[in-house]
Amino acid sequence: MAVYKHWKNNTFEQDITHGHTLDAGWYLDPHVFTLEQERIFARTWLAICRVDEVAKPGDFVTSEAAGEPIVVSRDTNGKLRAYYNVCPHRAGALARGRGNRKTLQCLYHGWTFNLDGELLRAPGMETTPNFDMSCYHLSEIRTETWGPYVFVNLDDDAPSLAQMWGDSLTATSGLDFDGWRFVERSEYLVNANWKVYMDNYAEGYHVPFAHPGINREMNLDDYYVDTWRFHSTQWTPVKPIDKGNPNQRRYKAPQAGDMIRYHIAFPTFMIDEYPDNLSVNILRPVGHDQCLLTFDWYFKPDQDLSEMDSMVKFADEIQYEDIEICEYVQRNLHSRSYNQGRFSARHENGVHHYQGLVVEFVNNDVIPLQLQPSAD
Amino acid sequence: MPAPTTFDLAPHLAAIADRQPLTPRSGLDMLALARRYNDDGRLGVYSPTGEQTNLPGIVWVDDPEEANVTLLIYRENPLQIAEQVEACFASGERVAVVDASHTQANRGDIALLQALLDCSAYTSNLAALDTDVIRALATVMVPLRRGQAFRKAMADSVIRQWLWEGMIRSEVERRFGEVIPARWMMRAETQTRARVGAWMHRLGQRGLTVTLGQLGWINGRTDQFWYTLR
Repeated sequence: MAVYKHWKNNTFEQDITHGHTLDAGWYLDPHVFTLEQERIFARTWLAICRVDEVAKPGDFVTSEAAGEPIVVSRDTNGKLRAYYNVCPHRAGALARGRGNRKTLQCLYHGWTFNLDGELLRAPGMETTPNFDMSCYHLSEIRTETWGPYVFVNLDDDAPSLAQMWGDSLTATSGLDFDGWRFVERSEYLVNANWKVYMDNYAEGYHVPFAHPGINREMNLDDYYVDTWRFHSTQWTPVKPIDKGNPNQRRYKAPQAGDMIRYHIAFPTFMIDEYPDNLSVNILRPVGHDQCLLTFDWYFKPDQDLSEMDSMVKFADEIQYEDIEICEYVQRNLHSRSYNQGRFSARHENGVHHYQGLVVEFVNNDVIPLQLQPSAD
Repeated sequence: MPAPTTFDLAPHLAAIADRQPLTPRSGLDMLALARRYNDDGRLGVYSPTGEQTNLPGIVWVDDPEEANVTLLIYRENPLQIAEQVEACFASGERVAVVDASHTQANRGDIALLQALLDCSAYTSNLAALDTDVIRALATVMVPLRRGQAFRKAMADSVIRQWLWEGMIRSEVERRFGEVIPARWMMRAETQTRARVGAWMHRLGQRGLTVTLGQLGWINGRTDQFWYTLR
């Protein structure tokens, strides 16, 4: 019989050598998820779609951010716009799915808005006294782009994406999406709290035990995690072929300087960088015990389909191994035998950094947040 | 017209009609069974492309106004079908969509499912979504007194024909082959659950609020996929 564990907002130890991981209540208590939606996801930059999905005026994509329905569109002047996908009349949906439209028309009573959010028509309201169309503008949400992605932030007072992590991640990673082309998208539903997935993503400590395929390509001794204010990068050189069977290797002839890198931009934007492919991994929580992962695959323009298939197979293997681990951890967090653990100071500084950010956001209702870590 | 399939709709129809004292009898085809449940009524079907086939209980009509349902048959343009569904819903027509894009029976094109999700139509408002015309019309003919039974029948159709046969089966076979070794069964299950779950999550936002229960493969064979719904 599993134990129900309430959230206890214990102090988070900033010194990893003394610190404990978040206790199980953080992952199991539905109230924490409500708080996280408000304090984390409603105040940070969330990837919604690729820029090419809203390339032309009138293109729109519907999605969710922090549990809120939103619609991202490109207006007639070419400007990206995002709105709550909620009609100011009686909360109907303005759009479903995706497509191209000159206006956004509520599917409930037909109120129609131009792509600037202005109310154009409100059928049946003509004889309503004291009704001023200009008072019913769509609520706009901040949008920015980084690389090939459109991000939104529901908080008008939050720092810009560039200030939060965009400029820093660009500078420290040297990532350039221009050399890659988008090939396909896969989605996965994971039966685990979103932080279980992120904790797992934030370290390479588990690689030798959980990922035999990728473990052949790297040495844990050469695996490092660099952390910045709102992002981190794990990196390791691709292991040279000095002994062993090269046929068992994914990278049969690694070059000096070939690297594997994993980037996290807080809260849930991830980039896997391999020598011959790139994938962007966007996580959206859909409940306290479930999250949805979107994987966008990028390859070099000159790669052929058979190469891509083999790469997807390789990366898929890692993905499913991670999902399996996360779902086991989620179940085990209920155990009466467990509440929290200790960090490996050598291998889990990325997890410690990530969990520190979670606690900081959840405990901080004053915005904007400092952009630099506090001195203490 | 796709060949009749071996997929057994009868249990679903029986569940829908479980308040009636009838037990599905062998030998009755699905359409005959559906007609029985529907008091031998006839179904007026309008096909915009004029595709018609002689089926018992089906009356082909030339005007959607006179039809009980509009039948859209998809072969190669998913966006066009999605637009037609939107237009039909706007004019108040019931719509059944049949995916005839594959020569292989019981296999749907994931591009059609994506196009339906991308359009404004509420997926669970479709009268039927199938890869087989007879099965689709039998579904339409059944009086839908129990919405949840209908949703389960549609989810079953989507999971088996579009998600499994149309996409995920090949992904599982890429990792494990056509016969999944026993030691990898759990991993294949995790893979299938994660991939199906993501699609069902999106379909759930369009009214198809059904999720996978148990799943597996008889003797590990990918052509023997089974699952339960909840």
